[in-house]
Amino acid sequence: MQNDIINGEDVSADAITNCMKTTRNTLSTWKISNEFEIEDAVLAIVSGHDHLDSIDVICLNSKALKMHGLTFEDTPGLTPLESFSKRHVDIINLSYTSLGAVANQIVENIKDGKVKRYTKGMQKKILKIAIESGRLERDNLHPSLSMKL
Amino acid sequence: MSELYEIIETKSGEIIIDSKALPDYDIVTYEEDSSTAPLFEEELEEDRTLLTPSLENRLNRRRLQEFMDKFASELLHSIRDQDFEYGINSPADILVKNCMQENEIVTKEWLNKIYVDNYANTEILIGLLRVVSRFDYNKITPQGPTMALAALPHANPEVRECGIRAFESWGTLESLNILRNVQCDEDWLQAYVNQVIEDLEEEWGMSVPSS
Repeated sequence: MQNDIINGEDVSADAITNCMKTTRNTLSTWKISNEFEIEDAVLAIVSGHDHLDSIDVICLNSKALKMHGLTFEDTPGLTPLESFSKRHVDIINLSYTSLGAVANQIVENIKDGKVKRYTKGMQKKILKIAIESGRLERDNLHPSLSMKL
Repeated sequence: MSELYEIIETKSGEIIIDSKALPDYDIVTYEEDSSTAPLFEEELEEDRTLLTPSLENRLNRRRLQEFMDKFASELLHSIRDQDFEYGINSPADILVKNCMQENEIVTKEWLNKIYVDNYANTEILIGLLRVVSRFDYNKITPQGPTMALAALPHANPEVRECGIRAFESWGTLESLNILRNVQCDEDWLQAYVNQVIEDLEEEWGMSVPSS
């Protein structure tokens, strides 16, 4: 059963392991300079998907996380949006404690309502605009994704 | 054509005048693509001895059991153990897609059965809802939408969300009409429903998009 974290309940283990799944102690993120670039990050993420599913996006404060000892490393991002591929950042060498720091920031963002859901319809609009402007090549999308646009 | 005679009693070479002649059979041919050519189903209708009342049911039950025996364990294992990520095809998606290509009707019945049998298991329900939402509405109906409808009153909000996600994924007018009649206790979930309704109304030309 889901925990009511907004009303103070603890974050469930499944939420940590499913929503913050690490690979080789690494969490994948995309770096933005300001809130106006959130949709660029969304575009970079969803353009690499097989199909459109609503996703939730949260902005992490890298300065605050660094103060908790987290380490960030620039790594090439796997995305058809070539102009954004260099914005990919891994949070590396994560441990039980440092992952907890990330989880706490996510929880605070959720409590403050700073999480945005990008629905399938919203993603379609973002993708279509990017294709029409030439920022994104339709041929670079997964066929089942391209078909839905 | 020479007459054919049936021997009705043994005699020593004596010809029996009133021998019974066998019926004369003509060779019957059907023209290809003729509108009068009978269909197999029509022949069955005319001669019900070819189709016993229980034959179709037995065939379908056997097919369903075959699918259960062959795929259920693999599907449940896949759902439990997969690293699921929204937007990415999962092993469960691929497995069920292959089953649908083999036999759509039996696959849908099979998924429905697993769903009902596991209604108390949120992990399985969520996995199944994600899988059925991957198919076109016309292919997965009626079992898919029925499963999504059954998710809406579930005690677990994540299951309810997955039901809404399925209708969002299908994006049909039927989905829109259902979502318009959904009421959620959680603000975040109702906000999600409202946004999907807005998206679908725009897609179906029922609203003017805001600039």
